[in-house]
Amino acid sequence: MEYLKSERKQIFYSILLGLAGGLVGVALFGLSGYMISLSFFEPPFFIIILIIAVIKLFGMMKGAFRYIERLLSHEATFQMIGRLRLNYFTKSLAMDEDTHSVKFIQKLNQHFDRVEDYYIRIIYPYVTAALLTLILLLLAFYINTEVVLIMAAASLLLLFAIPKLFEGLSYKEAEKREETDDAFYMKLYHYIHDYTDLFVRRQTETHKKGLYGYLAGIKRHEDKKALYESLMGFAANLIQIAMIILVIFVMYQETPMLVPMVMLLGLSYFDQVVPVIQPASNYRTVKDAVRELDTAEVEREDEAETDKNIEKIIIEDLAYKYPGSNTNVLKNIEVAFTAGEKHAIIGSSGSGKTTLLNRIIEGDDAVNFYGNSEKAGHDTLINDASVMPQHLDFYNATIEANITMFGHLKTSAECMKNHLAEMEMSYYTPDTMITHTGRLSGGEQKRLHFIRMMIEDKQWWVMDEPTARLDEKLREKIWNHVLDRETAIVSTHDLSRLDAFDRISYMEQGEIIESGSYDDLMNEKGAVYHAVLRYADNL
Amino acid sequence: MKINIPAKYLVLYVLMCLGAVSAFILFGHNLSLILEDIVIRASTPDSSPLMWTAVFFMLFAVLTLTYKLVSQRVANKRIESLGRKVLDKIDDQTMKYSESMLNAVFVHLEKYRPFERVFIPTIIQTMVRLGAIIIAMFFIHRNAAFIMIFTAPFVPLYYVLVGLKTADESKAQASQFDALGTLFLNLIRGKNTVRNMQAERTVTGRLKSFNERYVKETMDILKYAFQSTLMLEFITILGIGLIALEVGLQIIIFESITFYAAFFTLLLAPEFYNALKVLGIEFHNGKLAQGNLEMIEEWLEKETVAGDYRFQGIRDNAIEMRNIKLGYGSENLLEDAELTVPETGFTAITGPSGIGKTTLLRAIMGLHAPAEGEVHIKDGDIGYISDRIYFSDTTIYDYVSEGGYDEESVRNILEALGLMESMENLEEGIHTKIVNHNIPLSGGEIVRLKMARVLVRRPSVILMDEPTEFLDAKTEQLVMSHLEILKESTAIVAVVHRRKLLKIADRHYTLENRRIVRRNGGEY
Repeated sequence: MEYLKSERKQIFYSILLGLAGGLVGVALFGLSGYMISLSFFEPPFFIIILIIAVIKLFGMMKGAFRYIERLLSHEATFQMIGRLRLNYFTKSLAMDEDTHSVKFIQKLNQHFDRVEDYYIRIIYPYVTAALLTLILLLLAFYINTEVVLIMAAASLLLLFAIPKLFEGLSYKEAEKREETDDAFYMKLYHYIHDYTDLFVRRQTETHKKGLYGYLAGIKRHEDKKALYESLMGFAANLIQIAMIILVIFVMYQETPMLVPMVMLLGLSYFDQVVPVIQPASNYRTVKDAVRELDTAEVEREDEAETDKNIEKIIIEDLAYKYPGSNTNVLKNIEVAFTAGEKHAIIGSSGSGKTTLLNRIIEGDDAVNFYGNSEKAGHDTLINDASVMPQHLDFYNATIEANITMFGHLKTSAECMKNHLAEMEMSYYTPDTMITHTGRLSGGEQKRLHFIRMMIEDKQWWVMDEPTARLDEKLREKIWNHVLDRETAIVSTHDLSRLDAFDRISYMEQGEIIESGSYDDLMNEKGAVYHAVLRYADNL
Repeated sequence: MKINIPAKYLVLYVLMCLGAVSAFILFGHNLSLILEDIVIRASTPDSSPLMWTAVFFMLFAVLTLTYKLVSQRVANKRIESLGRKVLDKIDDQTMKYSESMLNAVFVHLEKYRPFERVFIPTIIQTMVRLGAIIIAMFFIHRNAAFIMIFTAPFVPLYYVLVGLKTADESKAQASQFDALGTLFLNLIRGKNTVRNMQAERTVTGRLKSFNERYVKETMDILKYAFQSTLMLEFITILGIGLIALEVGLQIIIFESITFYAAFFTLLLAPEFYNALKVLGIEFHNGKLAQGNLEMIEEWLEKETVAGDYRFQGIRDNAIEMRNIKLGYGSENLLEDAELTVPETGFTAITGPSGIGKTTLLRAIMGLHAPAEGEVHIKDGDIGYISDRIYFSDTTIYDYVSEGGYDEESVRNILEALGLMESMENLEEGIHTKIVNHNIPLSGGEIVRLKMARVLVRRPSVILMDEPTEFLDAKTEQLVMSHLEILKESTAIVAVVHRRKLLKIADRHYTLENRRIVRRNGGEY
């Protein structure tokens, strides 16, 4: 419940109203039952009219209570979800976890769906049902203790025993389902990305059969879930009929007049309580989801505010391995980048260029940032750099929001239009809505991000493959802009303008094996020399 | 909203629901008899109606349980086959939209499931209940049946007059809820850019204000939705109240109703009105689920290549393409093009990017049907070395062998390509797991691994998309000398970006002006 602390007021009132609504609802049916018993014994006519009037009034009240209560409980939930989202986003900004996979996003989405259930479908109805039960138990003392005992037993079974019994089962089933989903995801991802190879080797059918197997597995899990849910309903029905029969037996001698009332009252009580059972059995699964979203705070030190610009980056003996791997993807990296210099990093794919750039962008103990001559007190380069990483991010929003990062960068619509025109994307206006999935081609992403960088216009430019997936003309435009800058670090396979760089480093298998000016390296006739020759050989 | 379900299930469902509601009505009948005994005659209840009460209620419970089990199993089966249909749409181009495909399978399909699992069975059950109760009421207490018939249309009427707006509004709310969720998930996914551009404060502020606006607007819309529920509740109360009033008057003034009928009526009336309410609420849920079905159907509408369009069994050549027209939609990359590839030798294909070189290879592979013309191949024994590398959750051994070759053959081929040395440096050798490119393979190694994967199989035709990224000279020499040996016994068709490779080419074609043009003597 601590997740709901800011919504205390709404919760208090919604439970109060829910309880009142429940009581009135139950009373309504009880009264109708009482009315018919009474009617047959010729009571004064006005009493019947009075009872019916009260029934109507109660009905209206119940409706009104439920109306207000639902508004309150939904508002509380939406506020809670909004806050959770905001917290989660702030935390994820501080984490280094890779959040690009569909699976991660899908799981997160699922967690949030479950949290939505947490209050509206689990906590709140349960609390209301439990309070309603307590009040009815107290009222039952007016009839006799046997009725109290029967009701107590029934409600214990309904609200406690059945949910508890099925909780473990559903929890295990949910876990198994998640395992199936995870395995299915891996295989499906593999199938999609390896399709051409599989097709040529005539293995698509076999692999597809495997995927069908996962669908069948999911069906089995869902069937089991359905079985549990139906069994819970069945158990509730058994309790209901047992209660009906028992109540008749304990009441018919002393208080026969009240039997119809208790019958209708009991049926209405079951109508209210039974829907609570199934969600309550999911409590553990949902609680896990809530806990997942409430992971411990990760402190990321705020970049110290400092006036000093970064003038030099010196990397000393940098080695790096991916978390969970024991192979170094970078080793013995010794290199310096200086403001005012354009530095190209080349080498075949897999040689570690992207990883090196990421270490520079994100900061690493071996990467030191210097202002003029002393340490600048920076942990990362992002204060002073516009960055084009390998993976570019876009959001379901307008072009304008995407370019300016929701208004973070200040620029005019005119300026954006000019940039779009230059990048041959006039078919977009700042108001065009784009989506992050599918619609943007790789080339479009590069160009849109490039516009971001031009508007952001920071001192250092750090770019991973700025010209990949672009045609000749656009490559030319991008290179002209990049080479007009004073300071840039660019990793590239496109060597068409290599001679315009002040410094070139050649990477192979995680190491820098050559570094120097274009002319020196060409004279040395080493790796860079051969790479340039080979590039010239391209058709 | 159409309920799309095979007739046999519909009949089965209706029968089961009819059974359940009949059992419930018979339960009510016996219970009313007992209560009449107790209240009016103040006698001990007979054991026979008491037993029947229990029996019919049990029957009702069992039938309800069976109905739920059967209908949910059918629904899960239908979702499974829908999932299969979506998977059937995967082809070599899906990679570009992999996120959308994964979303269809993991998100939209799951969000559509409740429609099949809950919505359809509930609607059928409710309709049967409404009908059965009204019919029963005609026998129990006719006036109550009239009141039901009179009040029930108010629910759909209300929906027509006021509720349509609510339905639209609730759809707007659903899409808005989606929009907030999507923005949030987008931002989580794209947090690196937020961080790199130091836009944390702006973006967090944006998310917060979006959220506040969203809560406010949603609550405004929910007011409408809940108002319609309130109206339903009022109609219900009105109905039950009217029935209670009528029953009361009958008892006291006209004295024309038995206790049995009075109690039975009051027992069934709430069942009737609750069913009406359920219809109203489910309508809303159904709308939400349907949006997801639309997303799935987008995939289902996609056309796939129907069967193998290639002709197999030519004798003298490995590949013959005759009068080929090849392209995407109305845009043709090749028209009236011809290509003949003999059983051995190296055929090089060049041309600027985007002109259709890879599409040509795909047409040979059977992945892209030409709009016109014929593709003839000797047999289906083709190997393909693509220009992109994809490793996931596999070991080098699994990647190369794909389960079809033993360790020795794999080692031999890796040895022949000069890869064993670097493989042995890995901790678990060729059984090292590759996840997320965690192993620093050089471009040259990657190319050779891909070659190894094809060469271990020795296909009669090898298609090759030369990687545009540069390799070092040593690796290139190695690759070239292998291809030179290979081409003596195999037909190699390669998209070539480097002049040097043309040296080993026996034939050289260039794609220009939508034709395949032969160059002289294999030289450029």
